[in-house]
Amino acid sequence: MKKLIILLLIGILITGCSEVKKEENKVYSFTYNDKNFILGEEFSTSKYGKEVRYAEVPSCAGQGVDKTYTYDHYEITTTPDGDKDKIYTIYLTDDSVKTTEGIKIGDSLENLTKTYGNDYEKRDNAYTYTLDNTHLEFIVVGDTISSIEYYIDIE
Amino acid sequence: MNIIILIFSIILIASFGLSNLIYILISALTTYLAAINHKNKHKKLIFIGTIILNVSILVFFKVVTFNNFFNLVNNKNILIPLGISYYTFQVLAYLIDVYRGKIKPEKNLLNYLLFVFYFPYLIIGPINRYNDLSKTLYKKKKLKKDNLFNGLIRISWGLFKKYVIASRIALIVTTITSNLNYQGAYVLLALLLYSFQLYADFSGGIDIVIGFSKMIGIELAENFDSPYLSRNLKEFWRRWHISLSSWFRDYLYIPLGGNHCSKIRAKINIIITFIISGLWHGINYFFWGLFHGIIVAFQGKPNDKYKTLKIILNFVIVSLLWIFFIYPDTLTSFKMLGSIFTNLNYLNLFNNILKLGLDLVNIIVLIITLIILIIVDIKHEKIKTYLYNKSDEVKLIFLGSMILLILLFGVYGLGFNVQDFIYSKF
Amino acid sequence: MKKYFKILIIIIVFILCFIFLNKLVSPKYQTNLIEGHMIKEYYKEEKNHEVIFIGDCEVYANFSPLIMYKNYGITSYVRGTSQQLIWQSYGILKETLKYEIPKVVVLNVNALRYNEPVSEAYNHLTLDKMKWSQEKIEMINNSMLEEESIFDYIFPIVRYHSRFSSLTSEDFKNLFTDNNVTYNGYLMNKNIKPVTNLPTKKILGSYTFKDNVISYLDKIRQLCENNHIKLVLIKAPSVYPYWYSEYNDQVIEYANTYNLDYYNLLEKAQEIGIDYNHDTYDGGLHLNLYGAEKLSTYFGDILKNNYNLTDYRLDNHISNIYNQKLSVYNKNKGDE
Repeated sequence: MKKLIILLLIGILITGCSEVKKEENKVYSFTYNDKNFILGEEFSTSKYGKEVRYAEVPSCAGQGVDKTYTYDHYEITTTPDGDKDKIYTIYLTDDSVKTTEGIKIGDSLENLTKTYGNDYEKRDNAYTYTLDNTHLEFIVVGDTISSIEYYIDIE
Repeated sequence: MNIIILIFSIILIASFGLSNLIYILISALTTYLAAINHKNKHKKLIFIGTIILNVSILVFFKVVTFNNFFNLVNNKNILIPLGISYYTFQVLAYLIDVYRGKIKPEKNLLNYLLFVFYFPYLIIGPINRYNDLSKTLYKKKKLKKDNLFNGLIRISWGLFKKYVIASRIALIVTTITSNLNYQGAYVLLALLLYSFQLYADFSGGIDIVIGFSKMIGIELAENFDSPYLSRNLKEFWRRWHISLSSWFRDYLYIPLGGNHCSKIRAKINIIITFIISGLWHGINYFFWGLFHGIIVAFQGKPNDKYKTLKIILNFVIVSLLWIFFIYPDTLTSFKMLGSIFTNLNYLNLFNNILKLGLDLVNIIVLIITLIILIIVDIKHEKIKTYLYNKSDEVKLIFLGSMILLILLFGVYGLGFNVQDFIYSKF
Repeated sequence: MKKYFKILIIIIVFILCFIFLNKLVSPKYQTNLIEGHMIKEYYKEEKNHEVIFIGDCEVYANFSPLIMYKNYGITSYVRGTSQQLIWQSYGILKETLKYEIPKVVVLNVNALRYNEPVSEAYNHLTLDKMKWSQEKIEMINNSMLEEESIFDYIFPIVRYHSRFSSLTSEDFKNLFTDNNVTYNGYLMNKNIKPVTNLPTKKILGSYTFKDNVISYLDKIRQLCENNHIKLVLIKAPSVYPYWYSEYNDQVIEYANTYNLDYYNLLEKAQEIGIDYNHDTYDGGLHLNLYGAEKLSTYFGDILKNNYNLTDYRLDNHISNIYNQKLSVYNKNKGDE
């Protein structure tokens, strides 16, 4: 009997605090106009719009096919995950688009480190910032950014 | 042979970092000296001082490596010393027993160091009592064939529990707990499964420790006694992690007064003991300890009325309270626990059961191995006697089969991603 | 005595069971992921090859030794594997030289862009069916990613035991089969998928071939020198992944420095007669049968004219072997 009361009390106590918000991990994402591209999310042209150019890149062996959807200012590459295609990389193709934090192709290295900080991994000309399993890679030639790419780790 | 075990233990501890060796040496030496001087005229000072020193070190590391509530230290690679939770309690028990007059102090330093440094228990317990362990720890070691075989059998069962059962269950449980959008029925499923995962993992590790010790002729005390067959939580704590709960009973609860005081005070003693036990597991297990304490405080001796119902109810309560073990912080734990009572998405769970990390064949294997676990647990004494009395040939066949089963059905290494090897990104 | 005998029998039985389970869970590479079978098909061949090709899928999909024999009498073998990395090419070449010393070794330079191990799955496709040797152990150690262990390779059950829940009839039927999937190392594909669009050419952080790569290129070159073998560098006419001009320049420089011949067949696609609307099975990454035969005819001509190769169509013994191979080849070619 006592046990039952205790159980009920605990139950009521917890029920009261049962409002749970959706968990948000900090990851890199790219926004263009009203479209928000999140690495690892499922991709479809109905959601993100019809591409200007489409290409398929099969793997060397095995049955996976990567797909690239080229739009006016950026290119999305998807990779298969089960029966879905998930966003694998986002490649900015010109300087008319900015990252969410405001950096675009042509900006200076100084601007880059001011915006994103110094916690990057540098390999040759590539400066890579990492959040969770997403990466934002800037290729800097001389003092200017010549390439910007988002990519996610593949399982 | 004993020297070899000691040297091997020292090397093993040092391989995890020299600081580990230093900390355990401090605890060993301070308690060794304090015990030898237990008839000294300053004995009270020595006794209390040594206890405070060792407890402080333990508490320091528990707090400093807990990075949720207190961001005191920048957590730059401060690792908790290997086995500190186990050896600290083991040496304190020894010291208190000496000062209580229960045992004579160990004068031989090497013998005492062997007692403290004996590496198998540092990983996962059990916490040993000096007068139990010393019976076989110091005996001249002769490798007996029966001990070798029986120890190996015990080890193989431990490995089976760990890698075939616990690791397989973990695939589902982590899928659910790593995504806070899995609520309600998912959380309940995770908790019920986690009960088995934790038991299989923990008791499996203990089996390996006990089995290995048996191989070299050392008898360690059992740490589990079919805990999920307990009729209430009070009984549960006499069957789960026995070496720890008995430590708390003898060295905290009884000194606090135990139940030799007013009813209210007795209940408070229980609750305090359980709170500290919770904190021993980690700072964010405070509520786990508190809830166990409150429930146990109000429970009486178990009896066999409605036995099956009681066993099931107790299992459910224990499962629900594991919530603090599967989510990273207390707030999340409470929220997810609450969702069980408000989000009744059982149909949703049923439809998605094959998408939680295990395919159908693996789910069947999981169910079969759980049934085996339960049966072996209920009948473990009979099975042990039966197996240990069989011929060497039969034992060898059993061992060989276990090895093959673990290699084939164990969840280890690569290949357990949701995507199969064939479809993985090249 | 009787007891020890019993114990011995028990141990032997378990070892046999263990071996059987290893075999059972290993991928058979006979109907699925057949690329994994290619490396082992060389061993049972008669070792009469004057030309050995090494490299990645750009060699095994694009060069047909039987066509080179048919048109020029050249005896050759393609020891290519999927995503073959440069140190793997070195190990495979070294192993090959234990069996025979060819006159020419043709190396596809695409893999020079990969300085580090790339993929655990491709490592297995290249290495699983290779015979155990010092070279194989070296290759495994150089290819393993962080999460891999050498036991994954020594005991297949360690890597593949998770397949127990997805074994198919192929796994049981093909436990003891060992059928060739290639023709002297050429993997035939008759599908047609024209080149349409390709992904945007991306800017790289660096275009320089790294130390590890150059060191193995040097080792391959030296191995050929020591054995009086002519090393020939080629870039197969695959349009993707992009063969950057910076890469091409470095290969030209290397070839000039060491007096090696380098043929960029990508630049010669028109001369070869490749029709990218018809001659590729995956949109330009690899040639199909039609493209491969054109390329083999073109390249075979280069080989014949420059490397003093024998015309083995005049040799009774060899022509018997190759004609038998060709009849199977032609039969499968004609199949629709």
